[in-house]
Amino acid sequence: MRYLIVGCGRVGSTLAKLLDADGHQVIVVDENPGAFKRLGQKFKGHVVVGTGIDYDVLKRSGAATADGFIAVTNGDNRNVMAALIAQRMFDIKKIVARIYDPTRGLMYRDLGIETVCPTTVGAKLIRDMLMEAPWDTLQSFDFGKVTSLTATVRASESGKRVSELERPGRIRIAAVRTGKTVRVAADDTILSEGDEINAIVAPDAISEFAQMFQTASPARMSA
Amino acid sequence: MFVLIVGGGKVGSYLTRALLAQGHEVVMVEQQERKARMLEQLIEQRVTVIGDGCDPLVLDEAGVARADVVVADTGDDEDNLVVCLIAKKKSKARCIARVNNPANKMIFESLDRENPVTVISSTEIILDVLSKSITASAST
Repeated sequence: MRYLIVGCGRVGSTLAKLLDADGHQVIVVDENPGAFKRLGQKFKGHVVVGTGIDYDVLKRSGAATADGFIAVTNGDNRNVMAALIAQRMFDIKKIVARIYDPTRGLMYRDLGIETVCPTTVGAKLIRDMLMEAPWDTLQSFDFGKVTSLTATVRASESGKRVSELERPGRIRIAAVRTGKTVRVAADDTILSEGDEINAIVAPDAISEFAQMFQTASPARMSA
Repeated sequence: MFVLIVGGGKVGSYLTRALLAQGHEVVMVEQQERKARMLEQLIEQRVTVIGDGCDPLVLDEAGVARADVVVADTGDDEDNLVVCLIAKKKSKARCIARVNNPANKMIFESLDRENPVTVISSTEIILDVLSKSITASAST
């Protein structure tokens, strides 16, 4: 695949190296020629000096034939503008922009541009560390408004029904994995120790969910 | 008419003064307090909101929801684009944007086909005048 990356900062250069190492054709655009040093000696892709919000610069960078476009300059506004140029003037199908401001990130979703918000992702990772989270965060929706979590059923919850662990409108258990079998949870599904559950959790129920799967766990307390 | 002006540089300041003189209601959003206060001292009137005009919360505070016209006249195309994006989301205002690179015009116009952003590019205006004067001198 051919990827065009606008912005050769830490994220842009790291992504460029990852894609390059994976055998893709990578072009990186940055206003500052010094930024390309971050790409290192092994980088086999191309670099273009210029601003990513200029039609001519993007054209010269091969935007017309790019399969994917990534806007990761340190300016949110520049990223959304570059993404719109890629989408509307070059018809690039896969476009991802980094937007630090969660409010604006949500707003841009309607434009058909995928956004990554390191603010939300970073804050949630730190929260999970603080709580010594007994779960894996799978995915969040609407910039953290709802999160999908997986957790393992401890001995204390063994024998309980799914409905006993749910909180209406706040915690919904979606699926249960027992060994290699996954089924969609029903209200009366009985949980056993070692089962893995997948739950959709509202932000105000995160600590409640954490307690449910943490405090009563002898294994965890002894650890 | 209520006009919201984002960007308190020279264009924004002169525009604010002219519109106020015409009797319109104006709010100007400017990030640098110094620029905002300078204008307010001159006209002896409070008309500014200090903050980043590309921040939806700042535009809310400035009253974007009830604006009849939003003018995006910062010096940067990308900032003006974001002002228009937010204004289109939060209001029915007519948007007017200043654009440096004429090639960016199409992006602004693509934001809303029914009620398109009016794009003013001084680069393009100068080019236009030049090409007309060249045609005129060639024909004489």
